[in-house]
Amino acid sequence: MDLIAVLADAVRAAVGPQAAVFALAAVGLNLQFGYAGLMNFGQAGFMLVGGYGMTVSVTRYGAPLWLGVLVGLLMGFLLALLLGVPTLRLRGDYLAIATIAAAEILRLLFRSEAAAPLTYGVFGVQQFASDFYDLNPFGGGSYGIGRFSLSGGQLWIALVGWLLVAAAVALTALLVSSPWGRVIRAIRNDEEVVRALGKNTYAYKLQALALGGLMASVAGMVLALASQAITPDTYTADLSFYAFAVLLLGGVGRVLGPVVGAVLFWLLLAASDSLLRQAITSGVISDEVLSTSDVGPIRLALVGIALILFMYFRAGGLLSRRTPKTAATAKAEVAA
Amino acid sequence: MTSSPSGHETTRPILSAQGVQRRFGGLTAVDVDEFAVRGGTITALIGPNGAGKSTFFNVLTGFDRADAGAWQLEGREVTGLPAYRLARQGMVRTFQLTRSLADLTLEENVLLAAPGQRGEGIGGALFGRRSWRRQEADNTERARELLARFGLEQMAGQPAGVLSGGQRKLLEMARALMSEPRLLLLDEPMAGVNPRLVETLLDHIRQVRAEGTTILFVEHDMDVVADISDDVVCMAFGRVLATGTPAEVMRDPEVIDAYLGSDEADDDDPAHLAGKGRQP
Amino acid sequence: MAALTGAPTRVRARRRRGPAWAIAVLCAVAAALACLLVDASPALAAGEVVQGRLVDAEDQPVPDVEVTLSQDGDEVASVTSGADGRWEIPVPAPGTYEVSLDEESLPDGISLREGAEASREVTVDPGGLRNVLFPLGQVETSGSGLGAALAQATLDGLLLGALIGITAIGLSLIFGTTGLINFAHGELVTVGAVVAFGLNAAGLHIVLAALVAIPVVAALAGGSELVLWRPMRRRRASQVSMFIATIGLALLLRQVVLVVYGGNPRSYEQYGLQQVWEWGPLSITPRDASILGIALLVLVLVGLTLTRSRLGTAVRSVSDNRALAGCSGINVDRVVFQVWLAGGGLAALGGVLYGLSQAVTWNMGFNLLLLMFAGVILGGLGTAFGAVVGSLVVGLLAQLSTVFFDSELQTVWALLLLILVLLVRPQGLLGLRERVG
Ligand SMILES: Nc1ncnc2c1ncn2[C@@H]1O[C@H](COP(=O)(O)OP(=O)(O)OP(=O)(O)O)[C@@H](O)[C@H]1O
Ligand SMILES: [Mg+2]
Repeated sequence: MDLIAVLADAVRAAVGPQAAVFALAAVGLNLQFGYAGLMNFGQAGFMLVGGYGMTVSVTRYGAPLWLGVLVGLLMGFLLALLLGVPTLRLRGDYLAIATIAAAEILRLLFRSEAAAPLTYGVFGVQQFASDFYDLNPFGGGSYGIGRFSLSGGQLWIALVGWLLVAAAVALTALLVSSPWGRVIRAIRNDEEVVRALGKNTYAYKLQALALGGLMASVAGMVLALASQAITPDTYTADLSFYAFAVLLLGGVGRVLGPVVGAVLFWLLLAASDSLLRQAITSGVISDEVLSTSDVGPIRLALVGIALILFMYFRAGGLLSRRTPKTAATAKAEVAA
Repeated sequence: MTSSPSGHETTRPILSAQGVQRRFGGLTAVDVDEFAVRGGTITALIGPNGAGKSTFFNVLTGFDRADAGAWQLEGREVTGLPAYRLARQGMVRTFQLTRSLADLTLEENVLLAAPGQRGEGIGGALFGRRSWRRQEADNTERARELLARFGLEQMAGQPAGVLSGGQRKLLEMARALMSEPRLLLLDEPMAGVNPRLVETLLDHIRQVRAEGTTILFVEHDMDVVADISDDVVCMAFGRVLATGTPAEVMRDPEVIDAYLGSDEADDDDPAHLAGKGRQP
Repeated sequence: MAALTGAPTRVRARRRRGPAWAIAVLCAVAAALACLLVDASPALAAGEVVQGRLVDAEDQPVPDVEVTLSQDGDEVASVTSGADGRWEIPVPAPGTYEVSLDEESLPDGISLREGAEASREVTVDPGGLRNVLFPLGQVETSGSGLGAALAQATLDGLLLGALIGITAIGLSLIFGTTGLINFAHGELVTVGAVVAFGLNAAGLHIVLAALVAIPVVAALAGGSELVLWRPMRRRRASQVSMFIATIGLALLLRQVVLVVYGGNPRSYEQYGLQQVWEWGPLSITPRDASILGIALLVLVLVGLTLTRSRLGTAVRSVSDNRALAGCSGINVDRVVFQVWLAGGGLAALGGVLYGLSQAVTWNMGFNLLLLMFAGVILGGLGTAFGAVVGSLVVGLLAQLSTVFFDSELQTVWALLLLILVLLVRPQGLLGLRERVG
């Protein structure tokens, strides 16, 4: 087996545009869930409206890319309002169900035949990102060290993606260290106390949801640009779950948690993918047992196992200072 | 304005309420015709368990909706305002079951309550950094003073989750005071607090009154009530049974009856109930 | 159908024996299932295959239609669909092929549905099986008015609602007794359907296959309680972390099913072509009628169990107040465990029935889960009765919407209803409000 190749695959994935997409979505989720305690399981919905907002304006209406990006952001913001205004009064777990339902409604609507004149239906649309790649300063060559390499186009989208991640992280860092951040952290602990102290908690939650949602919309755009394709079924509920997995892997309520999480997530995912594939093609694992098409599901099953283990042993994630105990003991004492 | 108790000079009520009702299905938990708290006093709200005291608090402070009624704060109509607006107008409450913000440090807990923070809006937080930093420094100083006043300064940097039950009551009080309330509503502030600490807590409450804040508090311990309050309001089955000085109310036959009728009472004088109703 | 009416009395007699109630339900189901099935036909072919089943808008098979497989423009093979609407073309090697349907060969009055393509590119994986769907529709809907369509949709909606209800009871009771929203509940449904499929494909009669699948899934659900949820409750894990752990479990189970079962929808081996029963404008296959009968029967039995048996009382008191139930001598852990067992078993049964009425797919449970949530929340989280009522409403809504709107949007309507209920009455139609301050 070629471990260098495995390593190269893993590193390529960990610094590539996909990881940046997940980092962005998870930075947004961190603001929502990690700091404000909002269980948004509809991050995929925000990514969908972002990606489609951009793509549809560019392909259907011939808008320039920058305008498409603005439309995508606007869609993300509108979705936050549409979702947040009514649902943010709900109990946490109800919010989770409402958001997942909303994201699923969006996906089903976007893939429906009725919407196809606008959204291209189930099969989506491809090759709409030439405006973006025309800006690529790296040209068509290949960049890298040894076995690890990226094409110029990949390098370009990865660079843009990670710059956006950096911006989102910086924004988060500034916000959470301010009194605004103190209010939303307090809301996660106990919303009613914060209301009793004269803060409009509803407005704060809406702001956190919208900010995080905007970041996810940007993530959706980067995803569409990176793959030069957009289909509704990219944005299934599983995508929202992966955002959670990334956040939990890195650390809930830590500014850099989502970034660490996204890199680790893709490192592990790509490494296990590459290892399994090699094991199957080289016959270490008989193809009676597994075929290469099983590799995708298996690595996602591993994500599932990781989620369970994290929740069982360390609910706050790798970078967490909080152990699951503190929250639990507090609850227990309140109940007593 | 009927309820200014005899034997006291009449001051303008800081809080007055008329015809406030709250029903849960068939149960009328609160049915208060007239209620007033005189400015600058300590007023105790007493009554057997389930009398509707906490529900009345919840309604007044915007945490529960009223089915009927109106109430005013310092003469301004505040009926049905959301909780946060009531708090901003100076009516701040604590909760019967203490609620600390476990992941925030004690200092952050108290700082959170500071009114008028410039860094609390997104715009201010991002672009007015210089300005809110200065304000934050002043607020921190005041927060430290408050923590010191309640003997919590040593733990200022620790997460509130580590506090004991009694300490949480103290923290909650410090936090409420940080918000510079005009009227402070305390739901059983002494429940679960060590008897020796109760004395200190009572001193704090008196001091708060001296600083010009009006206090309305729920308490089951009649010794405490008699000791500290200027006025007493007794509720039972959602209604106000009696209003007056502590001595007047405790002599009131209806009040004695109410306590006798409830499961708690095994003594004919509510003044002897001291300590019995301690459990929340 | 005689067995159906006989069943409740028998179960009521067993009720007094307490914890054996789940078994009693199973027996009744077995009896009912038995009246369903007549014969079974051969198992699946091995090797790479492209296949499909042509049905018209009423789900009736369309025979004698020519389907052609070609690669790079060269025809590889051509077949015609059988009496059951099925067609199957063995593929010489994995690769990309074009499958096309000869529109000329369609019977009169039937054509491809608007927007559907007559030829399709498919990629066949090694050892894979590809299903290709050609959606067919009527050229002209013949005379049947709105009333008839509504009546038929109501019948279909009852069926769907009853299936959602069966699966949702467990979801709701688990929430009621432990406060856990089990995101993996949909996967219990899938696993049930898939286990039954495996046994069925291996030659076991579907009734027997279902009877094996039910305890298997009950054990899986009970096992998850013992291995994960109970220890996590002991460690005082927060609701949120347990909730996320169920998502992890859902992912795990779903992907395992995908690996083991594959991504293509398949059907249980069935009993040939069934004569449709018609009453005026209504029509239903005996299969669907039996499914509906079984589902309603099970719902009634579960209802009786919950209201009349000691376990039912225990479940309700644990839901009401865990701590108090514990103090008053109820073994809370045991009750919760039994709820998991029963919830798992019901999920599996729902899965098999759903698989019978539609098809068995690796993500059927997840799709059903959102409908279950809709039903459960509509009825008020935590009560079995609410879950059933809510599910029936959701099923009816989903099916009735197809009378007026595109049927691919039926889930959308159910989910919109879910969100609407959350907004207007988060405690559900039958639930109670929580205390605030
Ligand atoms: N959300 C609610 N739903 C239904 N009933 C409620 C609710 N909140 C309060 N009640 C009922 O209203 C009545 C008054 O309750 P409340 O908590 O106000 O009493 P209390 O005077 O504060 O008692 P205690 O001294 O024990 O704190 C009780 O009978 C209680 O059961
Ligand atoms: Mg009370």
